Amino acid sequence: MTARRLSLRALSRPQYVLIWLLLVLVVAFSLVGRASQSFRALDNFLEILRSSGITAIMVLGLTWIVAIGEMDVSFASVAALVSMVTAYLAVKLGVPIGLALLAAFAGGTLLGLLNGVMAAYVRIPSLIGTIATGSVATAIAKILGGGKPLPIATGGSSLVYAFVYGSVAGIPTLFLVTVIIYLVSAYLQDQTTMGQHLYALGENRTASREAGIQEARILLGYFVLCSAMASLAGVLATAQLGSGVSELGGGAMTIQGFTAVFLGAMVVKAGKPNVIGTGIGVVLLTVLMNWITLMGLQTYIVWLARGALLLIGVAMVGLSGSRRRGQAAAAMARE
Amino acid sequence: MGELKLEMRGISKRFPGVQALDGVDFALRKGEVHALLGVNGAGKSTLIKVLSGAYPRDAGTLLLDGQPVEINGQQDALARGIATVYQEPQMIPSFTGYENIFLGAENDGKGTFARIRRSKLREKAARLLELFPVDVDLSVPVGKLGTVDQEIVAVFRALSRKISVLVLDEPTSILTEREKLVLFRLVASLKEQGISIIYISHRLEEIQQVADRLTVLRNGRNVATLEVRGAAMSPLKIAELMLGERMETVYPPRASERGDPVLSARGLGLDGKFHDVGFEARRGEILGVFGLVGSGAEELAKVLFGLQPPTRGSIELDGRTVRLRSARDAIARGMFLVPADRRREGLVPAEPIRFNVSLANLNRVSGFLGLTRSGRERLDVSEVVASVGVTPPDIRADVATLSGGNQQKVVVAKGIFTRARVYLFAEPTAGVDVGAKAGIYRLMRELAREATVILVSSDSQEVYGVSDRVMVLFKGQAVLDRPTESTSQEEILLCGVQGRV
Amino acid sequence: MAGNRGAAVPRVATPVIVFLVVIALVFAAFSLLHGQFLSARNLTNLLRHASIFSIFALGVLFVVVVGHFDLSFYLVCGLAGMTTSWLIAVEVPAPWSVGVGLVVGALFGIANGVAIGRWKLPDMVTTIGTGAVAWGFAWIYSKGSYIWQNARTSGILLLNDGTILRLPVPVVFMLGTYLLALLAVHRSRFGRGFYATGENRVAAVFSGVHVEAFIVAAFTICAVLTSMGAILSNASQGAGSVRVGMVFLLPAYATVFLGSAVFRKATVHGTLVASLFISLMLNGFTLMAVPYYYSDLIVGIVLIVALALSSDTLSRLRESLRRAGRRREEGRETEPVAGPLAGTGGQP
Repeated sequence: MTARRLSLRALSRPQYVLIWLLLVLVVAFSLVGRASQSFRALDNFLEILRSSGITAIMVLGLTWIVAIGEMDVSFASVAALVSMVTAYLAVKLGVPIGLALLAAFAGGTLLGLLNGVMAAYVRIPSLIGTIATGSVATAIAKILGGGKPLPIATGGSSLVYAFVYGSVAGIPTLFLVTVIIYLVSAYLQDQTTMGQHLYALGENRTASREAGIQEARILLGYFVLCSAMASLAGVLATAQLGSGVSELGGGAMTIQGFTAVFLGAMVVKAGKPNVIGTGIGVVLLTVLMNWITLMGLQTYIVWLARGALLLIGVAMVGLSGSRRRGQAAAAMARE
Repeated sequence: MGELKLEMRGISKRFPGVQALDGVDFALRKGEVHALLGVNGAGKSTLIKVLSGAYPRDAGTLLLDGQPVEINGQQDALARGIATVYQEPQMIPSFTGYENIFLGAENDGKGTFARIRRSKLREKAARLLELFPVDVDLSVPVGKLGTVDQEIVAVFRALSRKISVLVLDEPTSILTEREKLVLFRLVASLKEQGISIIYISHRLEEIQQVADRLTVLRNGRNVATLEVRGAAMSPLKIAELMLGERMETVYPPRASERGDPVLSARGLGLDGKFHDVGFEARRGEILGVFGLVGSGAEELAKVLFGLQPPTRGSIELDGRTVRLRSARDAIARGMFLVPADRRREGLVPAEPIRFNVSLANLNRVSGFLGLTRSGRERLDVSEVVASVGVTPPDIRADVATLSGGNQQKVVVAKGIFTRARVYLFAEPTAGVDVGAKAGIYRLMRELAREATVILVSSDSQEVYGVSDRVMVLFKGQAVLDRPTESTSQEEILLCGVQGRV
Repeated sequence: MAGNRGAAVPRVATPVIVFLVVIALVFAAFSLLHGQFLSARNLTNLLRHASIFSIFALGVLFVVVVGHFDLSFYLVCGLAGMTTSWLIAVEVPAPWSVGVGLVVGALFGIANGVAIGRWKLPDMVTTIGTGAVAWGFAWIYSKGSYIWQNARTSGILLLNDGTILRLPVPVVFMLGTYLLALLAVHRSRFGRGFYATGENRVAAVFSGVHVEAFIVAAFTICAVLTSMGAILSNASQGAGSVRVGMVFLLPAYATVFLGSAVFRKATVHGTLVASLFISLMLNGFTLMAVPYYYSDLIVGIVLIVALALSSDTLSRLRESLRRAGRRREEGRETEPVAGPLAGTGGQP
């Protein structure tokens, strides 16, 4: 985990396969096939960037949750809930949209607190705990919206709107900001104590505890962060969609998120989830899905592709021998 | 040298049912290497744990630099400059040596978001290397390092804080000869820097190389403190001190009749663990295999039970060569292992006795379509449980509610229930009190009447007392293989400890 | 020791009794709140739906008993159901259609079991993946729309509408599968193997239990049972739907964990009682025209509470066992008893 020195030789190592794959795909899709024209349209590219920006923000926290050895399947529901709460507050209760967004964001982050407390202090397996909170979040979102999306009169918060749809020198602001956030996160992850302890906990909880690393507090923090990022994505999605929704991305967001994390983990850090890898994974998946949509391929192919990609990512990580914890095989058949 | 760095006076510590430390006096001089010896259960690790703050003591005083102190917990001990390096230290395999060394203290503990300057860590590590010169590459991921290098990293982790007392717990049990020299040089440089070292080991030859004084613990008491290079030192004397004049446990009488060989091994080897082990285990006989950690005895038991295939050699059952593919396979062939870690490997704690006892031979209690025959099970299991002496004998009670000795008896009952012809026992009386131990030895003797029993243990007294024939493993090789009556406890211990008498 | 056992009985029974009382109260509450609740038609409907739901919960139980999670069943069962509906639409006789549907489900179950039991891949993400693949395949038949052709003529609807010995068919299926499961899990050697695998895999291996086979079996049974549930559910709707299993994901897990919290262990009877409770609630809500998402909310909360209670229950259990162990007369542990488990979160 020594600092990477950027050089062409360094970039051609196997860790960076994902980047090359992405570039190859972008080039291929732009030139070949009946969708190539629509694909390489400027508007399409911008949409890709915007879309991947929101998704990337949503799964930023997830990367670290998986890295530390936990699970969170509630992030997509939290994002949806945030959008719905915003819409509800703004439309049904007449709260100024800026305030509504803030309140919803806070609420979403609180769910992360619940997740963290359950996993770190009550010792509920994080998978099942987040299934529960995710379901509760989705349920609340549906209750608020009466089972349907809740449109917000646009022109509400011009700030957020500008953020989502604006651009700087032709590149969507959203994307730029996401890139900045990712770069900062990558810095935190690779160059600071925070990241060091993150990976230490992920690999060997016992050793970390012995070294005095505060396991429970840190776990709690990451769950809160994960939901906070998901909430932020929810805020952005609200602006992008112009309404509150009870489900983002047609229910595929959860799978997409994990696929991006696992693919990114394998390819960039030989099995360890990391933000840059996830980011590239997100862009790759967005490009892929965009192309599939443009090609008018059947839904089932999309899902098959999603499932297959996830399984590939998981298998690669699982079979690469990268052990998350230094403990012997858990006798209680938790893996 | 001469002034006392650390003094422990009259330290006592009791656990439920056993007095682990009984008024132990221990004195560590400044800058010396002081070895601590004793058989399993003599109190070495308890004493160390009291010192390192892991356990509170019941009685006695601790003096550091002549001042009485209270050590409240592990962080406190570290703050006072007392660090311990245990066997098989926990590492983060993908982190480099210097990252592991400074884990948790990367920026002197301040600032979660503070930048880690790896160059600075490397410098600090390099400075450590200057003080304690060892040839180790600290910029390689620790997972790729050899065992001695990992241990060195663990030692350096202790050294990275300001310490004045370092405890090394069996540091060489997993090292080769050459690797040990590296460790000894490190210990020497630690001495030069004025660090006082407590060195727990059973390897007499090493102690003679590296220690200044030694203390022998037995049954929670300090029985002797000697100068290593003094006149009173001899391996035999040490063995006697460790064992005591008479055996306190009552062992059942040995067998006089010997049957045919049931299980034999020829040239059995597992790369890196043991090689060229051969024996014949006969019906009516208990074969005892004595070996300390790192001798290969543990691994031998696993290979014999089919948990790992040997890299060389063969196993024969009733004269026919067999290849054991799994524990399931071994059990099907009439073998059974009572494992060393009964909680993790031997029992399903949340289930009742009857569940556990019948688990390895469900055939016996199931009938049509696999349905369990409850009445039959109740009778058979109760019978076995009674014969084994589990108290209380309610087979509906969850195993987790039983004491250690009784839990072990349940595991043995499980084996008996399979009607095995070969019983392997690995560390059968670990964590079992004296009274229950006698019961288990009785069981072993009874089992040996119709079957053959192989005992693998790191307790030389136990092996000597129970077995008809003794084999001692040292560094993967059988250095002794004789009928028990033709050898002595001391001889067995010495062979296990230094490879020869 | 008879005395000890005497003390144990009321301790275990209390949560069960409380739970049964709660069920009775809820039942009474619904009867008062809605006139139609006690009508024959509603009760028959309730029974039918509860039966189908219980079969789903039973499938999930097997996977939980071996210590794993299956996040694919609600999608795999959809594929199985669509397969059956499609075969019926192309005039394959109903029994064959059902059989093939179950086989399709079983194949996914086997795949899950091998990946998780043999190759030791993490269960939740693997099943997320296989679920997605199944979901994809399920769309092939009809691009996601309902398949209802030939439903009436093939006789498949009898699976819901018919009666055997005056009991609705789904109820008979439920009783049959639960009886089999009860025998298999609690009265046979297979049940021993499942529990041993889930509670202490290492010790199970040392005892000669074929843990990999049991894990494969558990995932396969889950897939087959949930596929059966989907087929029954499609029969009740008169059409095959890809989404048939989705509504069961959360409630099925809530049921198994609720049953496990109340009965101290994941059991067949615990699952049955818990599933009746949850079905009862869901039926009541439907009758009162409460939107489905409210019931999702409540079920989610039930799950959280059940989880909190079971880990609390577990640690209290551990504590009392430790105390009981120390009070024993003969022989003591020399080292403090280590708890059999500690929730390490992560990949459960």
